[in-house]
Amino acid sequence: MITFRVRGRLISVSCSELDPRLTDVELNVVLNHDQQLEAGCIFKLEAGPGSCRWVVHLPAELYQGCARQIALQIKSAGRLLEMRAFSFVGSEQILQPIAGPAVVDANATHFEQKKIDISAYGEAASIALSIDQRAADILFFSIIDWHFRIQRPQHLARSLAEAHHRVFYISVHFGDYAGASRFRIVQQPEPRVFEVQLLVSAKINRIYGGFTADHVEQLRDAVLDLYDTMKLTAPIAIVQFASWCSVAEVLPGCTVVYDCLDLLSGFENVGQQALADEQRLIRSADLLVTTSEPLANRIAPVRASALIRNGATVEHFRSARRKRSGKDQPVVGYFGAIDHWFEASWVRAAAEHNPAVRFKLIGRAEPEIVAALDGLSNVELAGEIAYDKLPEAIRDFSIGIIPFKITPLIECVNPVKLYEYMAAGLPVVASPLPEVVAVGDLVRIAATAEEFATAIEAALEEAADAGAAKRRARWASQHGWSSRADQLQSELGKVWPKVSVIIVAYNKAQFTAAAVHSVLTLSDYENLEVIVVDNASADDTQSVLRQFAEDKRFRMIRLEENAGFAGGNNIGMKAATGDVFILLNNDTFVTKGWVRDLIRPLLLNHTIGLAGPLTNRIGNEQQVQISYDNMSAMAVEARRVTRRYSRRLFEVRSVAFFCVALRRDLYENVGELDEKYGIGFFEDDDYCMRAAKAGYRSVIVDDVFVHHHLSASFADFGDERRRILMERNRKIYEEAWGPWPGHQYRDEPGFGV
Amino acid sequence: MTIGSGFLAGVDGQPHPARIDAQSRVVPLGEAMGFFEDGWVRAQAAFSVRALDNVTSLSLELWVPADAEQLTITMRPSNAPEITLAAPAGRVTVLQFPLKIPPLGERRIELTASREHKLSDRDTRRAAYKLTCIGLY
Repeated sequence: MITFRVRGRLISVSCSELDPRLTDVELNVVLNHDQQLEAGCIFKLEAGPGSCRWVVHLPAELYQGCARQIALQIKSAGRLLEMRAFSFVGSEQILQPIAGPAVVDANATHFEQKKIDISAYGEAASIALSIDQRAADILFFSIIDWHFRIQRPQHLARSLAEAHHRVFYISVHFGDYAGASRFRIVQQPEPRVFEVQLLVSAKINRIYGGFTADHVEQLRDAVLDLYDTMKLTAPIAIVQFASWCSVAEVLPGCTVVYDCLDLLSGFENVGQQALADEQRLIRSADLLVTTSEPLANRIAPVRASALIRNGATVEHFRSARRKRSGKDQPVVGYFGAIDHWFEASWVRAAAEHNPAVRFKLIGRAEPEIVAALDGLSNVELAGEIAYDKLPEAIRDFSIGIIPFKITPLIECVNPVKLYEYMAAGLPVVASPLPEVVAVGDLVRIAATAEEFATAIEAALEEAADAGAAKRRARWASQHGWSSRADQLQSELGKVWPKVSVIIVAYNKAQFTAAAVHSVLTLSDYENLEVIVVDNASADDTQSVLRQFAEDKRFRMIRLEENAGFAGGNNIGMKAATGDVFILLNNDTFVTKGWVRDLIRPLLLNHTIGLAGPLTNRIGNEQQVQISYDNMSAMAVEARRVTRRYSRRLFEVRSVAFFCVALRRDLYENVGELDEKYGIGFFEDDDYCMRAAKAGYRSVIVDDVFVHHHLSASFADFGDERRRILMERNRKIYEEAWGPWPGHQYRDEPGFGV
Repeated sequence: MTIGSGFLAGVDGQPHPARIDAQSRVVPLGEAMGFFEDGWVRAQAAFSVRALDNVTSLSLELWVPADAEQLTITMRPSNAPEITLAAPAGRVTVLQFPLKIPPLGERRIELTASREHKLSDRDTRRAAYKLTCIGLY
């Protein structure tokens, strides 16, 4: 019997039921009744007793848009054994070369089908978009604008850009949304640094009071436009004012870092909303950073933090160093904010005590401070001086001072100016801030006005000591901003553990291929392995999945017998090297950034042991009402749904194992999936019960969506066999756990069917 | 005639009604229309796929009833011009259309036949041709 199938420009031909004694079976192809196709177009693939397979290359002459006859003749020793004929009509256009390189379109990564006019996003937008060689995309959700006083936010941003990250620095002032672009790149202050103004229709005067729900929605629209337009990949959001958290966390797969600069409650102008946001952010951030040990200690009862202190751009202040002599007029210098925490009374007393010494205070001074220093001819209030002019402005300083009132806010401060004074080689006199005291004998500490005056006199005497100045500069050089950026990158490297995605496949090669492809292209997760356990598929799963063989993240385990869903996953977990496992069905398609968002609850709260996403088809609390025709539309719709539930968890008795994340420690404590359940059904309910018994909770992560075709592997079973299997497994489950309560949809608008 | 019996499954896990060759480098998406389970196809039919690799052609293996004249079939993919080919009546024919889909590209494909008719007095369904297989390579 001859069978054939046309596959592109090949015909696959098979002949079976032949006399097994025949050894010289050949395929002869005749075109239009009399034209022999040349032998070079026919390839024998295999020949066994009684059967043979060939492929035939279709010649170009068949592609003329009209019907041609193709006869397939099976011959042996010149004798015709069998023949089949069919008409072939090939369009001439098949022969035309494919225009351009093969590209992935509608790949559900970014919404590339959106045609955008990049110039609408500001002059530097095309530069930002053109940076394709980058370490990571970092967004600074800061507390000050770029050209306000240059402090930690700008220094860290610059240093991270120097480390080849692409940095978007979000302004704390907003523009008007006019119905087109939702952000504008207003300037590029440094290579790889782009200052971004978000455009909103709401009036947001200042960020320090916190954002309303409407503000948050509009700001989310703006950062998602930034995410799509700038094609951000695995973004890192460095949040330096807590209220930004609700905005930053909507970014898919985003690593949220709370860079806790100060004791927020110590500021008078910070609203209750912002304080509440901070409490939430401290718990929910992927990485918590503090700038001082006292600040870290205050937060420690809630959560441990990485201590990354402030620093200095040592090179910048090198020009402020000079050889000082005893003949110079002594100048006691200060730069920075001159606010309510400034000990003006100490400065006044010292100035009155040393009329020959000039006190030069650089920075915007609050009226109360100006009044407190009024009438002193040797005190100069120099006003704000730009950062780039600062080295020149402080060249006449003999010493630097930090005269701060010790309040809860100041106790937690790690003053940037300490590093900058030291980088300039200046002796330092400071209040007993714990972080300054910790520096040791390189600084002088004064706890009272008298001690302050005395310490200033001693420091002025030391100002001309070149050796001491070098020691201070050397100390500062160990605390450069680039080393702080290195520290931050090192901490970021510890945030996300290795994740093993385990996909058990039984036939349905195309489903499996789509699932694997989506995981490899959309996860944006560096430390990832994908293990496909092929449960003895009878189709072309092996050959189809070979397309992923060159991806080092991909591994395939081929089983000789079908071990069932539980058995296949157990084999996958045994082989896995990750600290977190994700068991994923082969009939799924994931969404961008899904890994981080799905495993986050497992990392932040160790009582949570199992986490599953929302989906389109499952029959329990994970099912949302959603509609789409293709995977691009799925990505759009999934985001529309999940952004409503940003960072929301829904605790359940059990999650469905079409997609479930679990930590290795749970696997080691609870054990493997129970293989009594055979091919499948109820092993997931059972496992959740066993996890619960061991003290682990199961949650649905409401801001992650994974598409699920549902029951692709069981489809071939037929209804009756499925029913029998379900009944059998239900019995096993109920023997262990009592009556099965059944699954139900969530009683909430937008969920269920 | 086919090699193997495999057609791709649809989203419901059942064989996709468009009888897409299991080795095709696509995944069927969404609903198909105009296809009967036994292979008969109405004059207006459509289905959607997502490519898993470059696809350059669509092959339609079909049979047109012998008592009819040749049948023209127009393939119209979303976002691309339509192409028309003619299948002779009374014999198995493979029509091969150009169809360019990049990896992960998604297309809705409409197939429009020049006519359809009632299958018989006993089978009152209306159809244009009997489909053996669709291959996308």
